[in-house]
Amino acid sequence: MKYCLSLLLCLLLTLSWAQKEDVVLQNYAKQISTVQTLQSSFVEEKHLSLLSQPLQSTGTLAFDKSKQKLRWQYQKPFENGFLIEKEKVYRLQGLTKKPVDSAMGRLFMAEMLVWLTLDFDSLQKNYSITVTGSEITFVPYHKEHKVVKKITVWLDSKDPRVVTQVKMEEPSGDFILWKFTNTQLNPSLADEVFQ
Amino acid sequence: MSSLRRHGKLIGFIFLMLLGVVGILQGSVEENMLALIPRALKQQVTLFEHSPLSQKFIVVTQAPSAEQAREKAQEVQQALLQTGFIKPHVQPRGDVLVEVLSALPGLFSSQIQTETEQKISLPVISQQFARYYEDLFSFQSMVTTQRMTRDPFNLTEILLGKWGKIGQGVQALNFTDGFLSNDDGTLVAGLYDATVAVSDIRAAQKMQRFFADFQHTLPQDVRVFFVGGLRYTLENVLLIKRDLMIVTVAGVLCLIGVFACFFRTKRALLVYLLPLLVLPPSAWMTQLIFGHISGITLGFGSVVVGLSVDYAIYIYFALQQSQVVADTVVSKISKHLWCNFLTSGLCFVALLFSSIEVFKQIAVFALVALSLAFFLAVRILPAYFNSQTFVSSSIPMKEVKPLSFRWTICASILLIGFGIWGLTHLSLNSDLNALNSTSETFLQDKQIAEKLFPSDRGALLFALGNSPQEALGNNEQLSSQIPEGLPMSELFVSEKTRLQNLNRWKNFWKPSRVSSAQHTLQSQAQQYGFTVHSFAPFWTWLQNDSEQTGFDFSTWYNPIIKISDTLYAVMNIVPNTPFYARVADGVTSVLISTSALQTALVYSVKQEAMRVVCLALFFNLIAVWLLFRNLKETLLCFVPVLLGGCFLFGCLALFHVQVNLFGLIFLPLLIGLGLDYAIFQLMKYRANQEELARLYPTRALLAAGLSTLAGFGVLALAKHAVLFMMGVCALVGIGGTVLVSLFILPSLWKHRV
Repeated sequence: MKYCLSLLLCLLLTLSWAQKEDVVLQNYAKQISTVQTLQSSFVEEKHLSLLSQPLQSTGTLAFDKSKQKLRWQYQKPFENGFLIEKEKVYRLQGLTKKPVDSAMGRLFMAEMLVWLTLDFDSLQKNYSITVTGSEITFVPYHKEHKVVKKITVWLDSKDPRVVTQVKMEEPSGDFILWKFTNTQLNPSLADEVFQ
Repeated sequence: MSSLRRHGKLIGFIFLMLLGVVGILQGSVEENMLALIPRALKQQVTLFEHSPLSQKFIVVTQAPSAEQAREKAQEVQQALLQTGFIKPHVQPRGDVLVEVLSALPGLFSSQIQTETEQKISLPVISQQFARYYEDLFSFQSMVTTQRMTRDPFNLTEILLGKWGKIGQGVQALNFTDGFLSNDDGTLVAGLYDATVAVSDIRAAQKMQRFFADFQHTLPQDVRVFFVGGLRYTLENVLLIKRDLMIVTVAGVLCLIGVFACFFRTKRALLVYLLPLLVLPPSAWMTQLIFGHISGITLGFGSVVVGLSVDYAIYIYFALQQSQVVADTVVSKISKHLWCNFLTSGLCFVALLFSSIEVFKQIAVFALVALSLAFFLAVRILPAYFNSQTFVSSSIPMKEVKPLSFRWTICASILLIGFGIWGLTHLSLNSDLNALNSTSETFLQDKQIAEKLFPSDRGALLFALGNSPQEALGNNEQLSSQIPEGLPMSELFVSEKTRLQNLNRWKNFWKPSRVSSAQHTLQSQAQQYGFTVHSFAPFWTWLQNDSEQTGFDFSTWYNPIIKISDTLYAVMNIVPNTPFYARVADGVTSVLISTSALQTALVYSVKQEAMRVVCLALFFNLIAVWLLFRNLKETLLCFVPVLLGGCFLFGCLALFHVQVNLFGLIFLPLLIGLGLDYAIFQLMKYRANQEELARLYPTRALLAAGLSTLAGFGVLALAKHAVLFMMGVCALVGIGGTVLVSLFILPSLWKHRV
């Protein structure tokens, strides 16, 4: 009987904690949904086992939710990146813009939209999500995932609409860290930004 | 019981007819291009039909702007995927590209060895690592990191380079994002594997509906359509069905017209019942012999209708002019009837000597039908014409007045001149497509598609063998004769070559070379900050597993075609140049290009035509000689054939009718059939007694001629090129022969006397 009572207590505690976590996520989602456009600078650090030193690159990011446009531009040490316009994806190499296969582009676009808008409903289908303060962790349900082992997103403690850092860990132990600075929320973005 | 005895033979025939109908319904009507091809070219066409390319279909999008064309091409691609018409295009994933390396040892030819030596040289490694380093800073580095560690020298690129060479020099168009496009991008094409068989008519109709519905969703200036095997199936079957319907209805209406003009008695209906009794068993018999029956052969049924009624018509009119019993009348004109049967039948016997299957089918079909019709007309129908209800009454002879001898000579000279002019101005269409029954819309669509796939640019080079291994071996031998080699032979090798390649690979990676390569690699890698153990996966694979067979390119594309249990072919796509035509020996290798196939087809069909014509003329000459036993009369019989032929050639040239290849064979053959009317006239004029001459009334000749034209000439309404050609030739050729028999032949005969 004692055993049953303790089990019931544990279950209730877990449920209440889960409910509390859901409320926090919903709260974050509600606030993030107000972001229509976004512009930011980033520093990318790649910690790869095949390299003795981490690689560092810098660049900018621009996103327009309603027009479904995204530009991810590396500036240093090499100028490249990608551009998404609705269902079309282009690879940027210096001044050239090359289309990427449309099927792959659509998948990529869908995935990026989910992450940029932190669409928790979609993410919960593929990841187990845990929230610790302003730190959110995503672990894929599929343990054999070839690219991702864990993704951690840090939100600004003052304004949870702003993502400050993202860390993507690979099963091999390699990881990539993106640090976002100078983030502007809902700026007016000219069409030239995405050209 | 007495009724059964009296009508036993007729009932037997009705039973045979019903059996024929059931037989045909259970059999299959097939429309196959191969049935229209001479035997000498069958192998080439079979190879072409079995090629993987023929299983594909092309979706073409035409729009005012490049952006719109590409956007709509992508939309239709998505819609086709959703409806399941096409298989999703498998993109080689990053990890699949890594697997490609495992194919290298088995394909390690001396050429690839040379390329590998370059890849592991210091300058190339240095450039490679500069590229790797830059890649690491890009977004796709997550995928390429694995490739770098497992293939640091980027040896996969050698194989992918060979893969990319397939079809090189053939396409001169832009290929981006999975679509081919013209220079301004307003014409975009997607090449897809259909999920259904090319000959599946229901699937083809479903796809046609899909494209019609999709077209409605597009702006007016945008067009989307498909071409390929499925569209050909659709066009051929639909047109032949339509043709059969139109030809049957028109034929029946014309025969009703002939009936109304010449017969108008209930008994005469028996004459027209005759084809109904003979056609189903003849078609069934043809189906049993060939295993299937062509739509063209069935279309020829209307011709047989016209020919088969002739015997009954002659007997019917002879009885009308005679007071004696039917059997006596039949015996009096039996010589003519036999000769008539022989001249028509021998033309089809000559056709049996053709190597074109559909002609053989037609020959069997017509011979069976004519034999049955002859038997019915001579042995069964007279009894019904002779019954008490049939009042045989002598109808006053209304004869057509022939031309005077002077006018006959003038008309003959004019006709010969017209014929010579026609022959020199005749337009011969030797295009293979002229044999396919396709609509105008399809031809327009095809012309647009050919801007993207110029059929004269490329050719297919097949290496043949009794087994896949032999075909692969022959392909390697073929490749060795070509300075730049055949990319297929480098990626798809025989077992013997694979073992040689493995041995070469083993000898290449000797410890000294491994050590040297490791040293060069590490020195370059360290410059960019790579750790010592970064490329361990590659060295481990090289030491332990490299001789095990891994990736096989046939998972991407299989060039080996099975033609039969004892014939296989490896298909190469090569530029259509005389060099490749010289390389193919015709025994272990065959080159097929549209232009070469066309030339060979024209030559082959001309040979066939010559053979069939000579045989038909020879057989008929003997038959007519046996009837008349007189050289002058025998030659006179051929006057309507000669002048009718002149009339036909002249008319074809005058009305700019393009004669397709099969017209060549049918032209003289059909005129040969016109001999019957000449024989009829000569039999009439040479009869010494007036009573005998009365058995050959002009009305009978006109009724028989018009019945044949009603059956045969209606084929001119067909859209199918072959049926149309047969119809036009019959209408003009036989029409001309009838006119010559009526107006020119009599005075020539009289002058001879």
